[in-house]
Amino acid sequence: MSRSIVPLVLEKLDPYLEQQAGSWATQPEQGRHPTLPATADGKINVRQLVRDLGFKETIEQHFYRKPELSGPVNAVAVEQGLKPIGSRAQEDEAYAAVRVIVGRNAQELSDLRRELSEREALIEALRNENGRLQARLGLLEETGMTLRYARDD
Amino acid sequence: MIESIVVERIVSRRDFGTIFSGRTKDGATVRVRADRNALMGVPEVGQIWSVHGEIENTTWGAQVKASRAVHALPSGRLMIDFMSRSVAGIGPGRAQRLWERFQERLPEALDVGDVDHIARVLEPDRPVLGPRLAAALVATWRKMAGEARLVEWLAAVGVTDVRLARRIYTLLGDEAPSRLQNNPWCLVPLLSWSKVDELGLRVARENGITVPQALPQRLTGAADAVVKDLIALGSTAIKTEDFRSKLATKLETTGNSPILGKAFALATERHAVVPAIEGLLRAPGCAVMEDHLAARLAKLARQGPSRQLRNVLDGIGANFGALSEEQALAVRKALSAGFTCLRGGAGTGKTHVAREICRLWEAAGGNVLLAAVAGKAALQLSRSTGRLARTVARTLHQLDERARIRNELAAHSDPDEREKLEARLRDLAHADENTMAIVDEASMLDLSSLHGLLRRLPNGARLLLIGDECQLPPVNFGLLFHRFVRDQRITATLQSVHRHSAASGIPVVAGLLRRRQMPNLALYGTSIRGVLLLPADGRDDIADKVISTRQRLLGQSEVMVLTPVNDGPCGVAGLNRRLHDDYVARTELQELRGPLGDLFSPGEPVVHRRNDYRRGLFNGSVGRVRRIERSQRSLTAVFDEEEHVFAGDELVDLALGYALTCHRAQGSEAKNVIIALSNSRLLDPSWLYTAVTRASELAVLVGQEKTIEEALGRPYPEDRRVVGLNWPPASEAQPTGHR
Repeated sequence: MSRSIVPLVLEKLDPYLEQQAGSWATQPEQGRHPTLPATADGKINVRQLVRDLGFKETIEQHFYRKPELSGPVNAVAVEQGLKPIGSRAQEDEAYAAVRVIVGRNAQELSDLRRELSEREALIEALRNENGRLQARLGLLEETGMTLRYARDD
Repeated sequence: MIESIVVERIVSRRDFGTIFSGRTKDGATVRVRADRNALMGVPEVGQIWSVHGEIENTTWGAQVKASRAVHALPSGRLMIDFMSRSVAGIGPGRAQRLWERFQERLPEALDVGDVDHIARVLEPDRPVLGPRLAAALVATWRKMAGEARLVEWLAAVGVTDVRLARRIYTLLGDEAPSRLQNNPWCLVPLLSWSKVDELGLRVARENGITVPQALPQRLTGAADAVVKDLIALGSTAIKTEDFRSKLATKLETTGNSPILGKAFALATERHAVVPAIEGLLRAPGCAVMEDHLAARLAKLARQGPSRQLRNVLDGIGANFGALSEEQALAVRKALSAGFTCLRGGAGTGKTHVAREICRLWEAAGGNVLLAAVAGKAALQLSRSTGRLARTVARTLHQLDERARIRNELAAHSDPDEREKLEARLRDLAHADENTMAIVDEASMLDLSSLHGLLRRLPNGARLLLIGDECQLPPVNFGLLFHRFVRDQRITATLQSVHRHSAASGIPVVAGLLRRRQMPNLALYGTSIRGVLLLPADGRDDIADKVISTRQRLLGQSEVMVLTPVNDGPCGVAGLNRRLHDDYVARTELQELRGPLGDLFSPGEPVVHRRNDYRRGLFNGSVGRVRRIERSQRSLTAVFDEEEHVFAGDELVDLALGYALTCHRAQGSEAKNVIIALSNSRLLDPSWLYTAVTRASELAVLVGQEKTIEEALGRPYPEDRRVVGLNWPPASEAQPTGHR
């Protein structure tokens, strides 16, 4: 990653934050609304922020990785009552959701495989049993006799 | 020699077996020829085969003629090759993954067969594909391992017949070796008693049992062997005292020994015999079939005619065209229920009546399935009814084939594939709920054939048996038609003779023979029609006169030669050899020698000697040689319009068919019939009657009057066979006055 991206972004970010902080301050104290772009659950909408700055969405990742970029944003975000970028809580939530999905899929996968394995084994056992019964019927009709196949016979 | 060979190339794969080349452990290249009967499975490139056999020199160089070839179990890293080649979908990558996970314990893991575990190793991220591949791999391994271990077990106790091993595996599955180890006497249905007992005693001693003679398994096996003997004689039941006596003989003991008492008790306790009324003991397997078919037929016999059939019969009233009053009554009776019998002597017009029954049944919206026990009888039935008739054996085979193709159709959605399969269905025998199955020459219908036919007929299908109880009984066990026709509720009888003209004299003589009365026979040469006697003294004289009479009559019209015995100069084999030599001298065609010394040339009639369910050929199926290939020691013959190749040892299944036993000729007719009167216990009233009634113009009895008198003095086979069939079943029986 080129380090030159940080000053490039900061060049646009600083005046943007300045402007957003100003807009926040001009609102009546009672019933202020965040001026930074936010998600429905009260987090910074980093993707929208990047778009507002006129950058491509690929720049989004740098806000998570570079404290030089996330720091100034978070300062304004906290003031406006939004959850900061890269907060532990935000990460935890995201990871927890992934864990739930992965866990559920893995469990479903495992159950499915076990069930299918049992069925395949059963089908094979029934196919063999069918073959044996057919052979015994064949022997009965050919010789008039049955084969003693039980252990105690 | 015994070699482990890695198969490198399949040189040829034909009906007779496989020729392959491969490499031994020492790296030497070797070529192997293995007939089908010597192969336990089908060799594929990359597999290891354990080959037993001798080296022979051929035009392609030295090759091993395998007496036994068994797919050997792979081990070590060869498992990777085995898995990737044996199961579709398991390529080298997946096979390698399994090997890396289990290493040398892979065979053990496949034996355990934890499909889920193996699936996770094979394809951790594919929950659908993984288990399917794993299940297929476990099944393939178990089958191969099971067969290999069984062959190894059998070889260790001196049994090296691969066909037998294959059959035991099919019957007992993976557990075969342990089951046999526990009870070797369970092989009685498949091997002779002497062989099974020797094997059983040896295995028991190896298991540490010092006195194995009184083992319950052995005593029960001896009882099974007695039952097997009685079935071989055609019976399905035995008197209690006879059973005890034969059991004592089998165990080489006396009538009052403790071991016999124990064996007798075990026989009933372990169902070697089933006690029945009148002190009879029934063979349990036969009892199952007899009871099953009696119940099914009793139910059928209660079914009246359908509304459509009643309409058809009402429509024609008494107008049965060319049928006599007796025949018209027989038609009505035969159509009156779901199961009926039509009986009548030779020439009473049974097939004529059958044709009318077919016509009326079809007019009422039904369809018919025509069959006869012998090939010639089926041909005769086809001719007389104008509808295709098959042998019973072929009918059963085709009904199975139809069911198999229907299953395949259910699994195929590709229109081209479906069209091919549907085309194959068109020529196969068919039975549905509107079918009337008609079996001609039903006196020869044995228990297993009728049981097999009934279990293939759907509910609603009907059955009509046509025959003459004075003709020959079944070759195999059971006696059915003879018992059914005693029940007048289900039987229509024809008595007036139509077939033979009075001038031939055949009906008069046949009628006397049927009643076991000695006819007054004119001498051969005094007439060209009727039943004539050609005196001959001794077997050679009889054979000479049979041959010379055949040569004399052959130019004029068709000639059938019948003999009661197989061996000796005037038996089937002796007469066939002389007639073959005569044929070859006239045609100068090449000949091929079979393993038993029989000689065959193209164009000659042949008879199949045993039941072969794979080919759909049965003991007595009649065919004709189409070509021979001496270099391959193979012969192609046509049976029921289908070609069959017999190679090497398989030729043992064929015999020449110039001279026939009477069983094989039943149902067929020839203008002239020559009958060799060789002394035999098989010569009885039914044999003589059947033989004479094969002729439409001339029957020549070659031998002595005394032989005829002795034959007529013997009882009918019906009175000699003991069967356990209960007909009508107890719940169906009517007061005796009704019968």
